[in-house]
Amino acid sequence: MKRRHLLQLGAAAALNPWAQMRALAQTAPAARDYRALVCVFMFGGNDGNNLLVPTDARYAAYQRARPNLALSSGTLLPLTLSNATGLALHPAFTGLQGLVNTGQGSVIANIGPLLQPTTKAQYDARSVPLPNNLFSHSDQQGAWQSGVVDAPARNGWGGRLLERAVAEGQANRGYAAISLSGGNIWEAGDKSLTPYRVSASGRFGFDFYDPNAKAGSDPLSAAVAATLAETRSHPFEQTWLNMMGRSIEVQRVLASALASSSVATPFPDTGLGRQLGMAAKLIAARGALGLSRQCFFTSIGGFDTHGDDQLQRQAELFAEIDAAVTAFNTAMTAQGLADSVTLFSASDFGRNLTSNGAGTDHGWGSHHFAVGGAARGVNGRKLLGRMPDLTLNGPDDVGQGVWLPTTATDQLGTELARWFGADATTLAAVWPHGGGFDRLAGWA
Amino acid sequence: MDDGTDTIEVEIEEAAPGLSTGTASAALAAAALLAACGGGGGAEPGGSASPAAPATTPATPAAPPPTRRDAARFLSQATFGAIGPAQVDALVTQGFDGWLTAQFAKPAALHIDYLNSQRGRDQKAGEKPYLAEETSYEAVWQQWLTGEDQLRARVSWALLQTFVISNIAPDIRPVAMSSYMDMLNRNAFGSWRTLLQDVALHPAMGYYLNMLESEKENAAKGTHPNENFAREVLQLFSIGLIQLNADGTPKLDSAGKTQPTYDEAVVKGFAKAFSGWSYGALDNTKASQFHDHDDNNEALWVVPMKAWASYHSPGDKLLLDGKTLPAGQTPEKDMADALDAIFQHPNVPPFFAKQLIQRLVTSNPSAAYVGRVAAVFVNDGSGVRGNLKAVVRAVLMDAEARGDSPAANVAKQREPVIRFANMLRGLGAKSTSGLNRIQYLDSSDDALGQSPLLAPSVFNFYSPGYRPAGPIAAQGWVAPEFQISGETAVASSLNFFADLFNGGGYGWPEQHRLNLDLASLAALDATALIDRLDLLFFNLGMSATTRSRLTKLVAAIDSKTESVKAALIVTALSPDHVIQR
Repeated sequence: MKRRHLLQLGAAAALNPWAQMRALAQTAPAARDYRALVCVFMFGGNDGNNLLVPTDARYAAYQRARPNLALSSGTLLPLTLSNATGLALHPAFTGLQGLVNTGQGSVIANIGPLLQPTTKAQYDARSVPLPNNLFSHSDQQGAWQSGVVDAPARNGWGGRLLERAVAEGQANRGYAAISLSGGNIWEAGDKSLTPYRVSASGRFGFDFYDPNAKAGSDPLSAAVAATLAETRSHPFEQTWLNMMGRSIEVQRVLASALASSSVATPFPDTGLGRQLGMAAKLIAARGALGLSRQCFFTSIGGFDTHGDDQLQRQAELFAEIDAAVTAFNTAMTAQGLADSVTLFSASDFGRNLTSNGAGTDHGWGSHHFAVGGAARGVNGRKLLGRMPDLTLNGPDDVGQGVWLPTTATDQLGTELARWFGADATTLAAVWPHGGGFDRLAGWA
Repeated sequence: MDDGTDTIEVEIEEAAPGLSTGTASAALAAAALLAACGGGGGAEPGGSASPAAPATTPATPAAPPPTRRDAARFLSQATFGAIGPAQVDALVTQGFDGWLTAQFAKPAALHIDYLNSQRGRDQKAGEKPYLAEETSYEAVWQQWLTGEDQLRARVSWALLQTFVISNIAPDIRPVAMSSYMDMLNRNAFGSWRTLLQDVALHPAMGYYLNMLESEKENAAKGTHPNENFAREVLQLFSIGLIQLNADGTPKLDSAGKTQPTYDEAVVKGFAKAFSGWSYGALDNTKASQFHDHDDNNEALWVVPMKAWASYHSPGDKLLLDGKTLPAGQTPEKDMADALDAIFQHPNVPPFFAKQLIQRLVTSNPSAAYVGRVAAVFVNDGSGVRGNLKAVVRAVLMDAEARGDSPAANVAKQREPVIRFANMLRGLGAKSTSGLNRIQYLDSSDDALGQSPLLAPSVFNFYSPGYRPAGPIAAQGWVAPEFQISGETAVASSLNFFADLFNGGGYGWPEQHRLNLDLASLAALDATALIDRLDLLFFNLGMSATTRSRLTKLVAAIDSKTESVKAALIVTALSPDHVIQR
């Protein structure tokens, strides 16, 4: 694993992305009222039980349930929350601890997909509709990202939000949803919006193609241009041309926009560090794009910790997240955007409080965090939602320490959407079941 | 019929040359050869656990020879790419049936043999020789680029994309990965039931999806058997999440809704049935060896897992469709019964048929095509279920796959690694050493965004149901390979190909660099060059616009070599090359 990481670093360092640049005519003045949502998706289902850990009388139940996986209480990082006591973060989150304790972020307890408020008795009896395929990676990734939990995910709540927040016909609308981590459902809109996938390395477009080549001087570029200009009747062939066309567009627009912006904050040279670093650069370049509302999707994988390396794996991954998120917060603050950008974590599901003898298996409700923007100030330094009762077979346990969520993704998502500017009509489209839940506990 | 001996038949993996004889014989002795219980539930023809007897091919009237066009199409479906006009002409002469029969008989070179030949190649004097993980990837490319068993290579690559293992995170040892590839190669033309068992018991899969050392439930410790393999073997490897009709369409209830194939209780039941298995090279009469062993012992990774009864869940186990295994069966019997239950599920034929068609022929087979292939899975004509040789033949010889002008639904994006293999084979890429150094291609920043044995997860590189927004979704179609065709990956892969052509080869150091034979192409006149590109890279289906574009391009560049490189760059991005029809 380390060797591959080195190879990736080497490849990134060798690139010179700014081969061709043109001055970009400003399409609109930089937006004053800028808002952005940044999703950090932990692929595989993070065991939130080791992210947010009780340090009070509840610690005993935590340790008893998972003697081989319990973090020792001396290493936990205490949180001084305004509305809850006895909670701490995994030892790797030294940066996040500082952010939460200074009111720049908050933690969210036991959140997961639900169709409606659901009790354990209702779950056991299956007497209310439940989300589909609760323990399947792909379905629950879809559930978190789409906000639709009773049907296959076709588009996402971030995409639906942007469809309504960014007017059709707005210049550079195609860059409202940006992904630093490949395709995702979260940013897919229900009309035409799709996430624009950007390389975290900064390399854009085709090296062998100059879209501005003078006629006759570059036959290869002319041939490429002619290929791109074709229309093909077969949907597969046309889709391929569309993907190439979008690649070329990046070369023209984003490279120029990025050339005119800079971010002084250093970012760690890790997978998530590079993604959030590029997101920070793109946010700094928002003036050139003229957009006042954007979503950014980033991700980090490896959380499906069924095996005996869970503790080591989480320690490494949490350290990567902590360093990258802290740098991102610093960069946003330096840009005067601390209140304008909300970063939040998400994952397929949580995991069992108990162990399978080595690691943990798929769960449901999990603990997460949010930093900046909506999670600052009046809603910073808080426990949002309610911690589960850690008693096995207790009122929140639907089997071997799988938590029935006490907060629905709708509840957090609704507050983020409101902060983003959604009115009641938009909220109903973005979170169709949101109206069935109370407001997020702890939210001011 | 229960004859009183609860056992399952296990294929013994030959101990690889290069392992010490001590460990080899221990491995053979430890792996139990057990006679199959005939499978419960009546006289099902072609019993569930025995490998399929070769199907007797019924006498068919001699087929007319294929056209060159259909032969070229066939080569892009059944191999890693055409290598020249002589090969196409030979296929026309031999006919598809003859070609298939010859391919079924071709032996497979062992990936493990390649690994052993590369052991210690990077070590300095005095260092202990070790195996680098890169050798497992090179072994794959050796088969794809130089193996005569091309059909087997394509099928085992298809199987690897269903029964996924990946070294992207968990550090699977190279011997384990290459042993797994050898297992897929061995099973590609055998029995699906044997394939399922060999997958389930291979230590690489046991490690990847945590069946290895999964223990029975323990109330005192609060632990339960590991559910990872139990879940994915159902969801991804065999039956999927929803009930299917025989033609692969979803089975809907009276309200028009899909119906699930299983629930969490079933996953837990299978997890219990799969509990108690550890490395086959250890002594299962010693309870301590279940967990305590040296992972660095290569012999552990090349022999099927075996069971420790004391670690096996004793209770009853709920399986599919209400079937419950009674308490107290041996772990071997539970394993056999659990695999039989999966094998007999009506979803398996259409689920497997559709994915194999998607890997070889088209992303959107008609339901009828799926149904025809599924029917061959159910019964190969001799009463055998799961005869992969017959299924592969059915996929490639179906009327929907054949012909000069396929229907609109017959289309798939050729995935990046296949296009790279196609380029290397078609351009005569050879190294001085005869070997390759193709290793990590999975970066979508500066490589192909895909690399064998490096899928992002057990969900493979792309999902069978992926549907990109736009004209494909408008047809109601899926296009799995487009899931890794984001703007970044497209630019990165086309830059990768441009570098390949401009640099004239791939790999380092010098003696292992695959050098392209561009000189042969440069020696052709313009028309012959474009005809050659048409045969190698367009299945003789180059469109008129592409042809006129290449003609104009070649005419505008004086240097023959430069014009060839430019033509190849444009070929690599042409939709009629990227999309296989």
